[in-house]
Formats: sequence, C-alpha cells, structure tokens
Amino acid sequence: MFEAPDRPREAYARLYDGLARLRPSAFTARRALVDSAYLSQGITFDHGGREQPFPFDLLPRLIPAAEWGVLERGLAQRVRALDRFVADVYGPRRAVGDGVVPNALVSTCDGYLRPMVGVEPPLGRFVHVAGIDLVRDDDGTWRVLEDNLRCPSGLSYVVQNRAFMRRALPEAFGDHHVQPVGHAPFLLLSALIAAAPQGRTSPRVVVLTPGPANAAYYEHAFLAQQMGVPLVEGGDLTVRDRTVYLRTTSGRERLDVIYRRVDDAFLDAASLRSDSLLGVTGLMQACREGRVAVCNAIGTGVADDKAVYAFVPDLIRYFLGEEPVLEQVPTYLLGREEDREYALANLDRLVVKAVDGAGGYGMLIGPHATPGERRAFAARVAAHPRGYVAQETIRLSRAPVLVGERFRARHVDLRPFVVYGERPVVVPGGLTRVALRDGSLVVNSSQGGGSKDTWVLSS
Amino acid sequence: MLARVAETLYRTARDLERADALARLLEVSQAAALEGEASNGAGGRLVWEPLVRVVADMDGFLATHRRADERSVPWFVTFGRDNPDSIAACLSRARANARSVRDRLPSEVWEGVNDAWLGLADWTPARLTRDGVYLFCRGIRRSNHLIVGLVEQSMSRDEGWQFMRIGRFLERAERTARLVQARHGAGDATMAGALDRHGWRAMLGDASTHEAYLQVGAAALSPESIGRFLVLDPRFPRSAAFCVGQVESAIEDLVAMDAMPVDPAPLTLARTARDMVDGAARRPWGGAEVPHLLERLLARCESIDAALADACFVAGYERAPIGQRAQASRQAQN
Repeated sequence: MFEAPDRPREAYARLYDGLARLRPSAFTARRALVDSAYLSQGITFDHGGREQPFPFDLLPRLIPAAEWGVLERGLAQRVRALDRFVADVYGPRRAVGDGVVPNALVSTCDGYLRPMVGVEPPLGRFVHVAGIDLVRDDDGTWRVLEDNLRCPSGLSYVVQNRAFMRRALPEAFGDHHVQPVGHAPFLLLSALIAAAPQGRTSPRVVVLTPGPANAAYYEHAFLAQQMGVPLVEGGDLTVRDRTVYLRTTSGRERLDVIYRRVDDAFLDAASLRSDSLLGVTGLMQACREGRVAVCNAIGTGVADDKAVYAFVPDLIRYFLGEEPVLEQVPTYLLGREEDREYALANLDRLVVKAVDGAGGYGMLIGPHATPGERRAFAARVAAHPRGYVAQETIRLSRAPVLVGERFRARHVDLRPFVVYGERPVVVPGGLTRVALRDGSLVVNSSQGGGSKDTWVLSS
Repeated sequence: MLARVAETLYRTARDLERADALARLLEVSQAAALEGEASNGAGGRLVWEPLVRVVADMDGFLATHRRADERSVPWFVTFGRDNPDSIAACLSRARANARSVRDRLPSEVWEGVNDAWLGLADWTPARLTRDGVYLFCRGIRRSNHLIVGLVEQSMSRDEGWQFMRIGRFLERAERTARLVQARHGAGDATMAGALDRHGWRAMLGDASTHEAYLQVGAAALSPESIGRFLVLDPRFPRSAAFCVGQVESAIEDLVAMDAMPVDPAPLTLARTARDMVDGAARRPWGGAEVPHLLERLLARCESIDAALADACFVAGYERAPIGQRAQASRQAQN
C-alpha cells in the first residue's frame, strides 16, 4: 500500500485520505462490530476443532482497473487451457502423445482417476469453478502460485466480506467505483445449469456437502442459499436405474447437477473408495452415462497437481496457441534427478510442497525452517521424489493490517475465482488472504489466516 | 422438500419449544417456592419434586442428586449434564440442527438461534443461583419469542414452515398435557384446599397465561377450571386442544401442497387426537376421566411423532454412521 512511510501508492491515495480522518478507536469499534456480526451469523472456519469467526481485516485491498484487466485475461486463459487439458487426459490424450507433458507424470497423479477415462461431460467441460492463487512479488509482478480445480473454497467470503465492508466502513467507498461481487453465486448457478445433461429443461441443481463437521460448511450453506438450491448430504441422494434422485418427504425427485464439495474419492463407495460414508453409491455410473453432471467433474485433480503446474505455460501454448499472460513461479520437479540435486542442495532458500497437498499443509518453507526440519523433509523427498516439487521462495507483497489499534504490514495473496459455463467469467477481485502472524508466509484459513475485501476499481 | 431437512426443521422447532416450556416452568416454580407453605421448608415436596416429575423421572434424578430443592433442581433443569433435556441441551441441539439446514432458514432466524446458544456461555452455576433463575428464564423466553416471531414474519408458508409448525405445536401439546398430569398426580394424596389452589394457580404461571385464563374463567380459580382451561380451551394458543388442532391443520396443508402422500398416517392420528379433545369438551370435566384422557392424549402425540418418521422422514431417521463426522471434517477444501 505504501511506497515510503506516509506516502501511499497512487491507487490508495483516495482511500488513505478518506480514512485518515477516522480515529484509531473508531477502527477498533468498527472491527468489534464486524467480529460480533461474524460470530452471530456463524460465519466461521473450523480451526483446530473449534469454530472461529473468520478473521477479517477492515482495510480493503485495491486493484486498479488496468492491472485487473491483465489478470482477468490471464486467468480466463489459464482456466480454458486447464479445462482442455483435463478433457484431453480423459479423452484423446494428445498432449501426452505429443510429449507436452510426460505420460508418467499424468498417470502417477493422485488426482488421476481411471474410471473417468472416456467420459464426456456436457460442453466437454470438466472445470466449472476454479480458484487460482496469485501472489505479487517484490518487483510488483503478479505470479500464479497454485491452481485449485477440485473444491476451491472462499467464494462465500468474497461476497460476505463485501457485505460487511459496506456496513462497517461506508465512508471508504466514497467515489471509488468499486466493481460489485454480489452476483457471484448467480454466476456460479449459471455455470452449473450450463453443465446439465442434454435435453433437461429447468435442471435440478444441488450443493453436496460432507456435512456440518466440515471446515467449510458455512460456505456450502451460503452458496446453496444464495443460489436457491437444496444443500444435500450423501444420505439425501439415492441412485435408481442409473439416475440420481433426491429423497423428499413425498418420494423421489430426479436430480441433474451436483455441485459437490466432497473429495473425488469419497463420491461413490461402489467404484471409488469403498469405506466412504459421504457419497452416493452408483453415482459414478450415472455420471459416466451422462445422466447427471458432477461439478467440478471427477478427476480434475490431475490438472492442479503441483508437478503438472510446471507444464501449464506449455499447455496454454499447446491448446490455445497463445502466449501465457501470467507469470508463474519457477518450479523444480523432484522426480527429476538434476532438479532434485539442485533443490536438495538449496533447501534453505526454496519452498518444498507435496504435489497433492492443500490448505498449506505438507510444505516446507526453507528460509523459515530449522536445519532439523530441512533434514527431515529431505528424507521424505528422497523416499518419494514424485510426490514433491520445489519452488523459489517468493517474497509475497505486504499490505497494512489492523492489529490492535495500529497498522502492521502482513503478507497477502489473492485467490480470484473463475466460473466457467459457456465462457470463463472472472469474479472481480477475489479473496485476499492475510498471514496474521508477523513474517509468516502461510495465509491459509485452515492455519488461522484472515482475509480482506478486495476492490477492483472501474476505470 | 428433502426428508432430512424436513425432519431437522421439525426437531429444531420442537427443541426450541421445549427449551421455552422448561424456562416457563422453572420460572413459575421459582415464584411458587417463595410464598406460602412452600417457603417454610415444604418447597421440595410442593414445588421442586413435582417439577422433576414433569421434566424427567424422579428415580433418575435421585440417582445423581441427594434431594430435590431450590439448588439442585434449577441447575438440573437448565444445565444439568445428567439431563439430556436440559434447557442448554435443547438449545445446543436446536442450534446444531438449525446450522445443518441454515440454507433453508431466513438468516435472521438462524442468527436468533445462534445468539440464543452463544448466550448460554454467560451463565455459571454461581451466577444462576446468585442472580436467581428469573433473569436466565426471561432471557430464554425472550430469545424464543424473537425466533418464533422471525419465523412467523419472514418465512414463506412452504413445507419447511409447516414442518416447524408441527414440531412447535406437537411439543407444546405434550408439555401442557404433562404439566396438568403432574399436578393431578401430586394433588391426589398430599394436597388439599388453599395449598392445592396455590399450586394450581402457579400452573397458570407466566402473566400471559394467567391473564388469558382470567378472561375466560375469572370467577373460578379452581383446580377443575384451570385444568380444563389448559387442556381444552379452543382459543388459547398454549392449550393442548388448540395445539392439536394446529398440528392437524399443518399436516392437511402439507398434503395439499403435495409434500406428503395422500391420507398419511400422521393425519389420521392427528384427527383422532382432535376428536379426543373435542369429545372431552362436550362432557363435564373432572374425576378419573381426566388422568385417563391425558394419558391417551400423550400416547397419541408420541404416535404422531413416530408416524411422521415413518411416512416422510428418512426411513426411521437412520443415525449418521459412525465415522461420518471424521470423514467430513477431513475433506480438503482447497
């Protein structure tokens, strides 16, 4: 936000002027207001088994229109390519055949699911909603850090953060022309309806949740409510004659689209994980025959594997014939001998991640780790090299955050959401996540990170 | 409507109503214990023991408490860990249930339930005895009024609302019947005259019931007329007769909107329950017939509950299999 002490960056100048008139105690009071509203509405995230209000920072993050224009193009491009890639992996396999991505890499992905081979969903679409994590580095360059194509979480907080912001700091909005985000659930619903099996007029859509015990349960309920569709658990569904039905008080009712927030493996005890208690037995067969749409499609994890990530720029060139708009982070595949040697020798300045990890777990941040932790991680890498990648440590940009009555600089990232029905649409802004501990680079809400409202300014 | 959602809304409404009924009872008992014979050491026998009989069973209570008195019973009713139907337990269940269907509830309704539950954290045993139970009970009743008001003002009259209506009125019918039943049980052998009248008067409890009664039976503050009023009055919204009528009409509405099969068992049972109170209203009130009527009415309420489960909830309401919670909590949301 600042170029130098007390000199705000250009985009923030107006915000700074507007808020400079408020006393520190006013911020504290507004924050208390928001916190109690979050608790009272039960907008919480399960942190270590306890429901905590999702920490929210009052200062919005600003993205100027021109900067956003580039991101928007780059994100849509990336998601189009990733979707094409998934369809290709379970279809003609051209990318593998042409040597763009090594075959061995694809078929050893944890997210690769053989039962999906040959399945062609409506529109050929596998990815209906994607959350792409971006960071800005020291030079101000935006880079893609991770793709999330399975059950990306956070869209509800984008909408709710804005709603609370309007109430808590209305004076900050003054002549900013902030692009609205309240229509995001509607965008999602449109994409889900577009995914319905052919020939189904006014398709029945549901949100499938693992249940209230899940950390993101609030989000599942919010999205279902905002889209006006039922929120269901596995036990509410049943499969008869390869068709999925809802169990209602007056009998069965046919179902067309499932926006699922349950992991791939748990969706069908008959053909995926037999010990699953969360899915619907027989779902996979109904899905293979195109009698129900599962969103995102089963098996999209193959494209957000962190080793496949290294090939995404090539996939964009291959499938779209375009140059990638967005930079990403230099990545070393530890399954490759030379990459591994380099990485193991430089563990103190690299970040090492498990390829199928999520939520900020299973990673080593070299510069912050003790020698002992680095040794332990090196041993894990040696035991299962395909399972890890190393990346250059990016100095995440920082943003001011209210801590007590003072502003402190904390690292932030940005997760914009791309909703893909007929065309990819990027929800303006996204979820800005904040590492609440000083110096920490981990912003995941499952590890106690917080969030900010993100404003895309109209030009 | 999803069978699970229908059942959850029904149970949420029942638990909220139960918490409210318990709070009313406790408040009334507390007031009754302050005056007359009850304040001279007979409070246990006259007030607290009958209260335990209404909310639980006496033997179970005595297994964990030395005696029923002004210290042990209020805590048992409000927070007692050994009481699966304490006010706190009812609210926790209602909150967990409401949370699992919050997409079907207006946000304000869910917030009301959540706030009521969050408010429980302010109470300790010390505070409950020091400030008396009055403040606590008033808080519970007010939050329930707020929730019911919000449900009435902001929910569409759809299936969900009808199932909540069934839950609320079925619970209320049962509570009222039990209240009168307990007073009959205690009154037979041990009480007479003014003492008895004091107890019956206490049953009218909170101001609203007393005032409603005075409109109808002003002259006769007799056990007979109070009991009759509570069970059979057709217009008072807490009387068993009124509640049974509401249950019947809610089921009829559900059938009319195709949310239940035609002529479901719960409807048949609700009709016979209403016939039961209608029939009793045509006969003089009193004698051995009253306990008999109450017993049949309570049994009928229970069978309506069971029939609902069979006819339109998830068959017999399978409990979530062991391990489902753990699996759900481990699902990655990346």
